[in-house]
Amino acid sequence: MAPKKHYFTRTQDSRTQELRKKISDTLLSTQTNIDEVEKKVSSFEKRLEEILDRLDDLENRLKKLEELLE
Amino acid sequence: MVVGIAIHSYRGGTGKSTTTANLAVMLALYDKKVATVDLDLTSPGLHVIYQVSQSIMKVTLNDYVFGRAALEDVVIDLTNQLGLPKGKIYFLGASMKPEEIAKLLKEGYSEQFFKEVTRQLGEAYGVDFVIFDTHPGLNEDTLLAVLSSDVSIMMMRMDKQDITGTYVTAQVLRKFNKTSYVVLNMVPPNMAKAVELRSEVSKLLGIPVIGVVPFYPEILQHRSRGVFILKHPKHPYTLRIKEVVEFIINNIG
Ligand SMILES: Nc1ncnc2c1ncn2[C@@H]1O[C@H](COP(=O)(O)OP(=O)(O)O)[C@@H](O)[C@H]1O
Ligand SMILES: [Mg+2]
Repeated sequence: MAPKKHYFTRTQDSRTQELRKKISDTLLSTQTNIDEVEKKVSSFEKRLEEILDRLDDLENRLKKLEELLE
Repeated sequence: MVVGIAIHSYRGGTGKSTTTANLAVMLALYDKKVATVDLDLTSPGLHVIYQVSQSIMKVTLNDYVFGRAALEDVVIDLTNQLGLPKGKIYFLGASMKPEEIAKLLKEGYSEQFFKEVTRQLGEAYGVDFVIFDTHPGLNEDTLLAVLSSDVSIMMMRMDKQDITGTYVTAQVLRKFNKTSYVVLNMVPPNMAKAVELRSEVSKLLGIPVIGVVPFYPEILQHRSRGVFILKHPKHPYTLRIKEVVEFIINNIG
């Protein structure tokens, strides 16, 4: 006998729609302060920029050091 | 226990499908059984990376959702085709017919579907992981996929639009107490060298960064010629994918 195959049976009761409703409600009731988001992201980018500059600086100095040693 | 993982991103083209396929193959190389499900319904792309032609996908996920076909008729076992020495890779493809896509989005998407397909894949194939390659954005359907999975992995590029969108998405996911992780993809090589990158992004988003994957032109060129890490086992990209997989196995499995 071949093993039983697996079918999907959709149930339409409200319980299976619970999460969808919660997502919809949550999205609709979200109050995003876009200025604050912008501020956070901008300061993150500034920090990252500083980190990259430092890394750049370090690499340049390493290169110079190597040249001196050659 | 089967673990459902949703690969998600705020924007398209962040590398969801590429990452899904490569993570799945790496998990298989760790002897795991993995099912990958193409849920980017409006622009499916996983089959391209796996080199599965549409003609082989006679029966799709759409048929399963509407009870027209059994799971066993949808699942394609790619283990041999990919030449995997161990583990298992299964693929569940979605229809590319507009009428089918519309119908599925309108009536078929439910929490019950995600739970059931995950459970049945465990029962029928003994899979350890089900990875859902989702459609990008902060829309209801995608959030349903993300929130119905056990964990979500968000792919993010390091540009302002992506960072802002991911930040907003993270705030929504927090309201649902969703276990989420971030993988940074296509990171400019100079930025990937900064050791602080991981902690800075984690701090901003309030979500752990479990992988930093630089931009490699070879990946772009490799497009639709199979799963990259199989062809380039020593490439630095492969090592970055390996790191993410080790995190998954040790912390999520
Ligand atoms: N780390 C990377 N470096 C270079 N190119 C990448 C990288 N990750 C993905 N890509 C390329 O980016 C493009 C979009 O990737 P894809 O996986 O299709 O994104 P999505 O599924 O999110 O739309 C593809 O051409 C892919 O080869
Ligand atoms: Mg895709």
